[in-house]
Amino acid sequence: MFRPGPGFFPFYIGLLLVLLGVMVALENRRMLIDDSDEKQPSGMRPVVAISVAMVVLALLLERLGFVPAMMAMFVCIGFAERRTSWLPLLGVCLFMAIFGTALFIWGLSVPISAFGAS
Amino acid sequence: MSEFLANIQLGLSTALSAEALLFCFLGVTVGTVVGVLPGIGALAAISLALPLTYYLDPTTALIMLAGIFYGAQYGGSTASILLNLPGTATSAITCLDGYPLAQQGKAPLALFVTAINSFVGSSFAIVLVMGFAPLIAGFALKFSSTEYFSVMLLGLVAASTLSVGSPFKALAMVVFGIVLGQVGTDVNTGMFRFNFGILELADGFGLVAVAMGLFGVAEIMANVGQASGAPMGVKGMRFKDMIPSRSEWKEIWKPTLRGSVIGSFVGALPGTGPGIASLMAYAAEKRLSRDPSQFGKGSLAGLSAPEAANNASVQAAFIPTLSLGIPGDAVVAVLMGAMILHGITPGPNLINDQPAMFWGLIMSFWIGNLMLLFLNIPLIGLWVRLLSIPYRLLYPAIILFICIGVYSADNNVFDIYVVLAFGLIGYAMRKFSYPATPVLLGFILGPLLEEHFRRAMLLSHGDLTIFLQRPISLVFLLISLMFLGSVFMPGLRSKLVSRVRRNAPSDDAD
Repeated sequence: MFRPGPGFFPFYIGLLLVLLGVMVALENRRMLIDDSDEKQPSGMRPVVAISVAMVVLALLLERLGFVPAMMAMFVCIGFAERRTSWLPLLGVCLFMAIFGTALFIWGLSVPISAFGAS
Repeated sequence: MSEFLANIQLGLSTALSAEALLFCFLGVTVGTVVGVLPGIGALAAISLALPLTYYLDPTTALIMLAGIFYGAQYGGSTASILLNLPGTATSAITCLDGYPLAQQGKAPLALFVTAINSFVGSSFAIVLVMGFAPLIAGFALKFSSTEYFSVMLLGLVAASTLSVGSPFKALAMVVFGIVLGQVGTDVNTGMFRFNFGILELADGFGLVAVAMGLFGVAEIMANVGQASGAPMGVKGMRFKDMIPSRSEWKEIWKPTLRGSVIGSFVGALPGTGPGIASLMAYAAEKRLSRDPSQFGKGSLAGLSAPEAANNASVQAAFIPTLSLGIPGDAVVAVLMGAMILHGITPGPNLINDQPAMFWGLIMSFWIGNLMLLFLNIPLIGLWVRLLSIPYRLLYPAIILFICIGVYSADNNVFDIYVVLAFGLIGYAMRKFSYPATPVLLGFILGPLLEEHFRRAMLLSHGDLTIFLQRPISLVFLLISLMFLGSVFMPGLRSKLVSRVRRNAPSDDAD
């Protein structure tokens, strides 16, 4: 009797994905649809800066606490654009430090501390 | 009839409780805010709010999350009209005639008209939900796993073939989503799949992390550094300027109704959302118009039809979700995920088992839409001012919210890395025009699809032809096949595609 086990779906789904990959490749070759991104390329700078910022937050959140971690994150994000106006960003950062602590730690009891390891 | 009235009464008593009213208001307000602000859509907002609703009663939680969803459709048009930048991707079509109107100094009129369109579209669709959802659910009670498998397949196929852009890419993304859904423990045997020895993946990827990565983080990465427009000067918006004249009313009422009908129909199809609904309504209106050359130059008909359609489709999307357990589009899919997290399985039994929840939710739609009418007409000036907050100050806060939001779902830092990974995947997909919505649909429906398939195989003793032997299942499969066939008939498609390519940059119905 045919009884699909845990590997049945992954196998056939995998096959299907390969097939669709070939179709996409064929379609692109024939250029049925030109769907290149027309928006101006923003470059890799924001992508890298945001990625680093999120990793830094993840690394520091449980070790140093919410406020130091988010401040470090904001510093990294500041490098996402070529010309950053640091003063307004500092303002947002301070606001989020207070608002975030109130909302997440006091309001929703997320188990992290504002300062210090949790 | 008396039963119907009793149901409505039950729903009203749920939706009018102080708690429900408060969270409904909160939901529609948040929805309007994220709708107005370009760069965050309803999907990111709902995923963000999801962990916050764990503490709430499931009905209240749903009322709030749904409020964010339809509230965002109201807000979305504001940025489209004033900035020529869609506040949510689904209101891209609104830019076409909304922005020219604003350039002619008729921004107040356009904003008023879209609020009315939205309200009419929503109301129309809510009536349909009240009529059809219980009907379809009654019909679906006879469904076995065989029918469920087929109807889910239909939903996934419809979602990917009815989208704008390459259907193969969309189909591939559905399958990619199904693969993502298989990560974790196989429910039947308890075996680990695709977890690569990572302990945190034993339960699979979190829905919130996947959704926020693909839609929230990816969106921000793509938007940072892009030039953003300054809002059109709308100083001292007077109520007098907002009210359409008699001839303008005449111009809008028919397109609004037609848009509502088209939107409701498209929205009720499983898998298709507001993006395609507003597009179809616009195309239909242009074809019916006596003077199509006015379209794109500030035609009120071209503004009204899509705006009514996207709101109608959003409400109608609840028909398949609440009656079959099959989400109408990606955002409802996340809502469905929220229901599952709250321990409620959406499906044909929902209406009978949880009448207070079903009717309460529907009645909250009415209340929420009335609130939105108030929020979007007298208070419109407030939202316009919101648009002047520069994006570069907004997005760091959004990223922080996203990170802490996913962290709080499971209190695990690992999820922040997951969200980042999906953000990068989503960014790459965007660059190469792969739609993100199908991934999410596949991710949520995939595990259900597999479970029903395996259950159907158990019931039929391994006979694969069972799907063809049962008539309802056969019909669903044939319709799916029809959608798949349409992929190879590019005549109709290319027409649609070329039109959209000129107008709207992306169709990711968020």
